[in-house]
Amino acid sequence: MDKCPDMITIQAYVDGEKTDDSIIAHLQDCHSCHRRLMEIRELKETADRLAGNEKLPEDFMQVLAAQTRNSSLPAALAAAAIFLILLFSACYLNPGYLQWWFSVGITGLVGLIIDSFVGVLILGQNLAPVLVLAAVAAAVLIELLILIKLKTVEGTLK
Amino acid sequence: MQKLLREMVETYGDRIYRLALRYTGSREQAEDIAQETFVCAYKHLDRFDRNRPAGPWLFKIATNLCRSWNRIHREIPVEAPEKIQQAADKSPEDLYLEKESEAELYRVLHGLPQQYREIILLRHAGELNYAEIAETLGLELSVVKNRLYRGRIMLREALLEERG
Repeated sequence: MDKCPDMITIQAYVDGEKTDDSIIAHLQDCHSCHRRLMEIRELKETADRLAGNEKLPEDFMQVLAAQTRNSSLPAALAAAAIFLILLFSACYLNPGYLQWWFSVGITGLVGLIIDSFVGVLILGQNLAPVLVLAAVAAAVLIELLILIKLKTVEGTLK
Repeated sequence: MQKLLREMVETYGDRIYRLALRYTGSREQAEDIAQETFVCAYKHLDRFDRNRPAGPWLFKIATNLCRSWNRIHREIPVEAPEKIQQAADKSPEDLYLEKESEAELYRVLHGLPQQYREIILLRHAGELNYAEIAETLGLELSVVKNRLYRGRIMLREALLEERG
């Protein structure tokens, strides 16, 4: 290499960035470039005082894990809301359903239903929140439509 | 997701903490910024391309948080953080001089224009290479090289000026 490299190129060499072999050889031989190399090393050493070796506190990961843990509250509220919508719509469409819902409540199945809903919704939150919540909403709508249809059919038969 | 987050903390956590520490001069604030960086990253993991290294993405979040911190606390001078462990073999005079030298470095660093200070910190505290700095700050590689060079010169000149 005949031409002396510029300061930016010498800096890249000092910083350990990819440097052409011919530049490295030139820096060894050229007196002027060697002086500039020393100058840049000095600049780097001054800034290297900012490096330090401080480390994060040992409990950092635990605190972070607590902050990022999934909250099941929104899923539980959504599940409870869906459950109530189904309950009231069913009772509104046919008071006879109340008896079934009552037996569900008595036998503790209500907890199982809500727990299942919560499980599905938490899974949905983690995987594809929009998709799963849309699927649940669609399922609720379909059920309501079926109930309305049944009530209409029942009314016609009477 | 928690596993990925843990890997990110193990690889970049200390470096992000040091970056925030140089920015704020406070261990508590630096820890808060590091926490916020990883919480933000966790919330937006879906936007992260897992085929690429996480470094520039995380440092971008951390740098933005540091900038916000800087905007809010611009009136308060940043001081060098207290050392947790003092070297036992150093005399009180040496310790004093070391502390003064550190304080001087912080004063000078925070007197630099932000565009130079940021690149110096990403390089020296964040230990990022040129390409990673360019990606973090959304700059051309040549701009990073130039600003780093000019920033280092400004830092040394300001230190010499400070010493009179």
